[in-house]
Amino acid sequence: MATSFFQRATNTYRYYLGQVTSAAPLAFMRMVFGMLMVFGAVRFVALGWVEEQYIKPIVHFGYTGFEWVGSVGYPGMYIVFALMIASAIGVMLGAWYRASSISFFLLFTYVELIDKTYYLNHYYFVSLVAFLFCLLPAHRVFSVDSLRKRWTLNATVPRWTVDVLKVQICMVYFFAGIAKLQPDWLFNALPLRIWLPAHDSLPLIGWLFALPATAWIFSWMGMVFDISMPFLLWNKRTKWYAYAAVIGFHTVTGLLFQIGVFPLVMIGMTLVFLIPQNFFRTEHRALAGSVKTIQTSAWITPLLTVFFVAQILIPFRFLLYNGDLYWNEEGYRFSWRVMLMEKSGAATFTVTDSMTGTSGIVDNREFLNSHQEKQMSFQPDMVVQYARWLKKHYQELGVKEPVVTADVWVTLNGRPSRLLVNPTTNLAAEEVGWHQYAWVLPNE
Amino acid sequence: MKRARIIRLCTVVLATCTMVMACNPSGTQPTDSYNRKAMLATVADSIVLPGYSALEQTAALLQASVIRFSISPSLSNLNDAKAAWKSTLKQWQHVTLFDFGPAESLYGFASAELGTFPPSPLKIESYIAANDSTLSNYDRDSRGILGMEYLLFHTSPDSIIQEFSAEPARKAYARAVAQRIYSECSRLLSAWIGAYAAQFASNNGTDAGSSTTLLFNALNVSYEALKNYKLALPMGRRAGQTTAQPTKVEAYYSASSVMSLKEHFATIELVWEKGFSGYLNAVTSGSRVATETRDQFVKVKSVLAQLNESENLATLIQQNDPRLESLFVEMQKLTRFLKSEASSVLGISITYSSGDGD
Repeated sequence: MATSFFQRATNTYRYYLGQVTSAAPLAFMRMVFGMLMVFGAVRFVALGWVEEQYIKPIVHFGYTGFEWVGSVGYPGMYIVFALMIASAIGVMLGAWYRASSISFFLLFTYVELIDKTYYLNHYYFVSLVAFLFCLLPAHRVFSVDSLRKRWTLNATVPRWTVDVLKVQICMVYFFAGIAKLQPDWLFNALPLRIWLPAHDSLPLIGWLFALPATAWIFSWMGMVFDISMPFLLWNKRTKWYAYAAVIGFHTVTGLLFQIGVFPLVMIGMTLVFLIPQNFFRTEHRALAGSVKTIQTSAWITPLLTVFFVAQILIPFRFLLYNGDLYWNEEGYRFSWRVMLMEKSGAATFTVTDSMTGTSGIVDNREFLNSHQEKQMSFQPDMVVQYARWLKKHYQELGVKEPVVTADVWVTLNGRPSRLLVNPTTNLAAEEVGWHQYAWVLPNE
Repeated sequence: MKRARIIRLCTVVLATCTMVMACNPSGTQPTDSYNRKAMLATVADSIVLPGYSALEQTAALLQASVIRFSISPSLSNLNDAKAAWKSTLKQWQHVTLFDFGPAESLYGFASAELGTFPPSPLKIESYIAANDSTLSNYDRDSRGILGMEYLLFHTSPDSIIQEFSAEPARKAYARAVAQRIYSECSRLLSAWIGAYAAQFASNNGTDAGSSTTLLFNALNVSYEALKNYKLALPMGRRAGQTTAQPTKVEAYYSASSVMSLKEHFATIELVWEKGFSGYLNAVTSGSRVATETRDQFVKVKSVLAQLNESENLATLIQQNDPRLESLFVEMQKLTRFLKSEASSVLGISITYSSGDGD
């Protein structure tokens, strides 16, 4: 029995891997993705953020395991962005597609790894999708490559190549949805009850945000929207309504919150559920001799299995730690926890010369930009990273054996401030990593 | 079938465009639950405008008295100039917080041009020695209100009179500094009267760049500057300092540091009370923050009240006066209310001027 079930499953999977679909939708998604990435990167440069975020700061908050990744400064970072934009154009046009997609993935991910201050879930999403595009034959039609090298041209691609994009998008919505299944979001309408009234001056709809009920309705609607979207988008009968909801949801959140290109990215990428097979009428073009079967490499299945299983497990890693996830943030990132809390802090660091006993406070603005200071002031790992940097800095200035302590007052969802880290701990002697942070005080 | 799809796609696109246009903030009168426009207008009309107006007047008096003193360096003329200078310093404390809008120019901030301290005697004396009174440089510590203080107060009245009598270059330099102070103050006043006050009040959103956010950040930056540079630094309480540096107090030569500290703090409290306190009472969890913040303001004020304006802050620092330690401690406690608690419940902390959130 068991064997036959296994065999049937294997056969079904083999059959699935062998299925093909029109190459047009995947090529279309390639163009959409490339275009969005060109826009996003050009916007980033135009707003002066390369300078603000990666050139001017003298401190960077690296990720565990990637502390060695640093900014290449000026003009290096501009060269990185120029190459990134060129790669995105390459992806969009399907020109030297493999090289372009791999280089875009590497450059984009490199920039994100420099400083966790600027971590955003949608940057993580972009990195993941960029990785997928490296594997996908998205350049078989409507591409410079297919004109350049005739053999590239192909009317069909394996069906899984489109499906993995759909799965990736479903991951985002589904996990964002279940992250909202928590008491503050559902039963206190927090943080929306804090955020929405600040938008009461928006024309036409502003008055809505001044109503107390709006925050509750938005909280519940947001949760239902996120959880149901994967199912509604995948279902043929509901996908158009789902897409209208996608547009509505992302338009409203885009107007309310400063979330950059994220709404556009989601509105653009969810098109993968809608785009009809014959959208570009590929079958009728000069493709008669170009229907080959693209072989799926044997390593694709294990690779994508690891890729998606990891994404399923990572959001749950917080269960390995004690304490309140929202407070200690151990296991918070890379989990599609989007706009879930209003958290803010004021961190005052004291550097004590352990030889002489003289101590003094640090003006954070001297070393951090406002974005970095804001983020550092409520994230325990960044507090320690900064303390370690301060130790090194004041050692260079001649302070012997600096002990770095901090009063970090953090307010979560409008509740009274509490101390985030033990004010007597020498934070500069602590390490950042995967262990439970002993220096974080409980939120109770 | 295909046509139906295209029609549906078009409908969706059209619906998006309609929504985006409907929500495009242009022209229509916003409806408000809390009237931020009124709050901003109150701050502009009752604090900023009277503040700059008074500053412009005292700066004009200062310039006139410096000119008179330079023409005839007598003790009474020196005393007039000193009195005018002291009123200018006082009025400056009432507006130094508003370091945005007109105060932000291509060459930097008004707080730097007018309020840099401590002044550098070395630079001032070398400009005078070189007979260079153009002030066309970035040495902010060679001019401004505290640079003027050095010129009028750095030694005994007799010696000052002697210096001014003997050195035409010093006269020219003092006049140039007074002229620059006046023109800067007058420029700021006209800019606020001209268009900025109205623009300030009508930019009443809560995004980065809105007046509420600008004012909130300016209040915090100013408070931190007060605490860190007017108090902690001369006390030797900044990281890396090994000793107190009492000569680094603001207004060291005239020993008006206590007055300056009090006036600056009073302005911060005034902006808080007339601006953010009422706003806080209108939002979720806000009244708690408003009450706790006011309690902490009261504590800081009660310590400040123990300091007399006739006392010399530099001397108090040298003597390790315990009142300063408690002032520092209480001011430190106020930080979290101003910095994180208020911005958090007002919903203005999620906006960044350089980057997105999610």
